Amino acid sequence: MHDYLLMGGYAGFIWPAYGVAALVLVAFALDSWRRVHQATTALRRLESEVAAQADRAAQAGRTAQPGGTAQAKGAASPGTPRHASDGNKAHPAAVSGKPDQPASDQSTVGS
Amino acid sequence: MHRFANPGRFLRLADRLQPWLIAATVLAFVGGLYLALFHSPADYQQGETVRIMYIHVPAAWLGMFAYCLIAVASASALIWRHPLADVAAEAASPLGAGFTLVALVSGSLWGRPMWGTYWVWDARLTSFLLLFFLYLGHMALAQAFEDRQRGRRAAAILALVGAVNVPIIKFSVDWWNTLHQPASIMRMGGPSIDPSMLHPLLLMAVAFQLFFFSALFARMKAELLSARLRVLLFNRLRSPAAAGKAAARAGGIAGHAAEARPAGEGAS
Repeated sequence: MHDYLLMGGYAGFIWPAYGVAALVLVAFALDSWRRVHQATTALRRLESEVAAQADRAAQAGRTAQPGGTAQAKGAASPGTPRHASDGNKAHPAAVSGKPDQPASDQSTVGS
Repeated sequence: MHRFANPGRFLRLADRLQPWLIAATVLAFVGGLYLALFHSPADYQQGETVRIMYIHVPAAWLGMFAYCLIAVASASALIWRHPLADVAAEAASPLGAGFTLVALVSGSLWGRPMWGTYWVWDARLTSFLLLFFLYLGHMALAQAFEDRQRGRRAAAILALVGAVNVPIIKFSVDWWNTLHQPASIMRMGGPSIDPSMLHPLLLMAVAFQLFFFSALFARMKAELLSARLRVLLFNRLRSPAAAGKAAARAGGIAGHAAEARPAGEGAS
């Protein structure tokens, strides 16, 4: 066993090579999982918040005057990216759900 | 390709494939590592250091493969505005850089005992180092612009310009006198490497390839979900009611996840 680990005297080259490969692969695996997990959690949370707000707004609209007020513009939940408001964004009503709309923003989850 | 231009459809397909990809990756690595470290012989000239080949060569192949994928994706993005192409290129770039780094480091560790040097500026090594720098440039350029789309476009152009490096790497050992050995597998006349070494090598290459696709799909999914998150936040800032309607119409991740759940997997 000891002789095997010595790899004919080349252990100092062979095991670090395998070690670097293992390190890189494990790092990628963990990072990829983390990105998906963060995005999924944040999206789920936001969608339920938005859906709840829409329900409240719809109910308020049915009982009182129409037209949603600004009351639902609450603070963004922690951990979600702040949306930079600069003049570059000229996209109206980006409601299609396609990626890259709006195109310009400063941060992404997990990067 | 155009059937998968729809991000939702791509996400559903990726979610279905992912458990199989991960399982196949693990199996391939277990088998490959067993063959590479135990069941294959030492080389008559290089001794046990030949085992570094089972890391070095697959990593190098994947480094080049990832760049080819990025080049094709960049062309798709620029010419046809394929909506997933930018996402794929951005996701693949760090992976390709990582594999290239593994190939460079493992090659160095192999070169020291066999060639007597960690590095030499021959055509193969130099062009492969250039590939690593191209990956770094690609990642940096995409992030360097305030406008995300412009950054991706610039990175796509860089990727296409740098694509000429790939055939240079491949043929460098033929066109120049190099310390790096010439091709022993992808050559006219077939592989010149013994099957007892070829099979572990190919299995490790398959393992690396499966890992690459698994990680690529995961990163693409994360980016697509992040993009949807940005849309929702943007809409919420503008109008909460419209944001609610938009979320319902897009189906939301709850709808998407509900479709994926019957497949019996946990999204990785």
